[in-house]
Amino acid sequence: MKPGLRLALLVAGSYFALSVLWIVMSDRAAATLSADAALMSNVQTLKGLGFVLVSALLMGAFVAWYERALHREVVSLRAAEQRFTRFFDHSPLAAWITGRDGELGWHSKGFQKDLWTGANRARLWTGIDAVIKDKRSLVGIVHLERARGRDGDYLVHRFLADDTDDCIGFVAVDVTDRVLSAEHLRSELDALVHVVSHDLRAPLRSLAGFTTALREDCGERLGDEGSHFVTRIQQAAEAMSLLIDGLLELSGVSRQSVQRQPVDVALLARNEIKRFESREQHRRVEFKSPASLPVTGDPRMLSQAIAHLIDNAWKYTAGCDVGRISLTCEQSDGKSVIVIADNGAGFDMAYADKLFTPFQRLHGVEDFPGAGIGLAVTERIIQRHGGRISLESKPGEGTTVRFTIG
Amino acid sequence: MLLLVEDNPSDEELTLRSLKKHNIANEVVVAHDGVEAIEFLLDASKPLPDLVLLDLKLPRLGGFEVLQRIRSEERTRLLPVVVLTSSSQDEDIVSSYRLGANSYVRKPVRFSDFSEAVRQLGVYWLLINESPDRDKR
Repeated sequence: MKPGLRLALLVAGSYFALSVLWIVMSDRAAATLSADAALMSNVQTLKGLGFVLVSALLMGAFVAWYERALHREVVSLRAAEQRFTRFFDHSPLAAWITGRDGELGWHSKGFQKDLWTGANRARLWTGIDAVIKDKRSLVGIVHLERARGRDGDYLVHRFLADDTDDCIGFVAVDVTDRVLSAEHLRSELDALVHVVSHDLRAPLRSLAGFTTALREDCGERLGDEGSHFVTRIQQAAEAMSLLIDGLLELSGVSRQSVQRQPVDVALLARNEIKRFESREQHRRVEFKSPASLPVTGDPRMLSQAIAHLIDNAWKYTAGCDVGRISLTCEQSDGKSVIVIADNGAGFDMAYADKLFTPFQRLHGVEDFPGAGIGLAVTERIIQRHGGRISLESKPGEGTTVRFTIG
Repeated sequence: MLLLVEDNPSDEELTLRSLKKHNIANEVVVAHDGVEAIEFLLDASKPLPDLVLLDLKLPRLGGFEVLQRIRSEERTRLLPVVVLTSSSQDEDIVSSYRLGANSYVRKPVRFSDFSEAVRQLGVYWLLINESPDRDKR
């Protein structure tokens, strides 16, 4: 029932019921007081007048109350509207509302007509069906052409402006500068990566090459001590080369985009184990995994992550008579958790917060070689997939890595 | 004969040393930038090399441009070109192959690896590989 009708029926109904009650009761009461017809006629007139008077007063009071209530409502609504309008007018946002047909309605001061004409209008209207039918809000960066001033990138929110489903709201904010500076930063980073990749390696190669030449051609003159120094220089050059590779790998993970496809994690892990087995045939390592463990993710990135995790497990089980590495899958909160466990050297959980810091190592390079970027790269890959990774370990008992993929 | 396009004197010396140690190329011509390389290759009075070892980062004319030029000239269209460079960035690898490189090798930092890479390249491209007949080029 409509809200207005309800109040009208309530007022009319109670007026009718009270009136009938008054007429019947007052007539009966008058009849018991006297039987004189002339007197009764006067009483009836007085009674009628009294009724009209009371009705008039009640009606007046009701209308006055109703008017006041309505007025209060209108004033507070108007104030609310004023607040919101001023709010928008004083913000750099362009906000506007259109009908389902795209007809322009209310708009804020920051709105200019060229935002809602021609190509811009077509671009902003694309996908609006999802907003209307599925009641979704769309957020995205849209390139808009401005009649006044420069064209630019706008972060645009599109949504249903109210519950009638007839009004579509648009809020746009100019993010051109931010997009440009992000692009600028990215190209600077690319340039830096290129320099690191090329120019820093070249002198390192000379260092390694000529020290070898020194040893080969002048070895006798160097003596034991001299040869030892040459070895040190070579080791340093190789260590720096490893660090550069790590740096490049780390920046590569942030720069690549995630292309999701079906990937078999068990296959990736098995291949990695096979690679190690053929390289270090003296090691005894038992590897257990399900026949397949399908996930959806970027094949290259995931194989990179799995390679690092298996590399760690392989490396840290070097001291075991029989290394045991296992790959399993657990269910937790409806999500698949991939678990890679080993019975290797492990680490003290007190240093767990440092594990994902690039170039941070928990073991000496002599014991376990590496640049110290494996887990940092793996964490970034898992995060880029919207997943989480955690490690659990006890010194001498092994390490368990758990991660989800989005 | 082998053409080494390399601007870094240290890399040049190390490459020559590796080739000499493994008794690979009897004759090596070195071009120190892209322009020098192109001038040598397009000079009809000089014989074509059996292999070009090409660095990507070169003064004046870069490695990609040299590659492009080599593939667009009738004389050098089929010439085996191996990119031998410091970078192992995906973009560089893909661009090299796209422009017609026959192989892409990253110069290893460790000298024994570097020397081994140069030896294998020499053995493969100069001894094992059959190059296209020069008269038919």
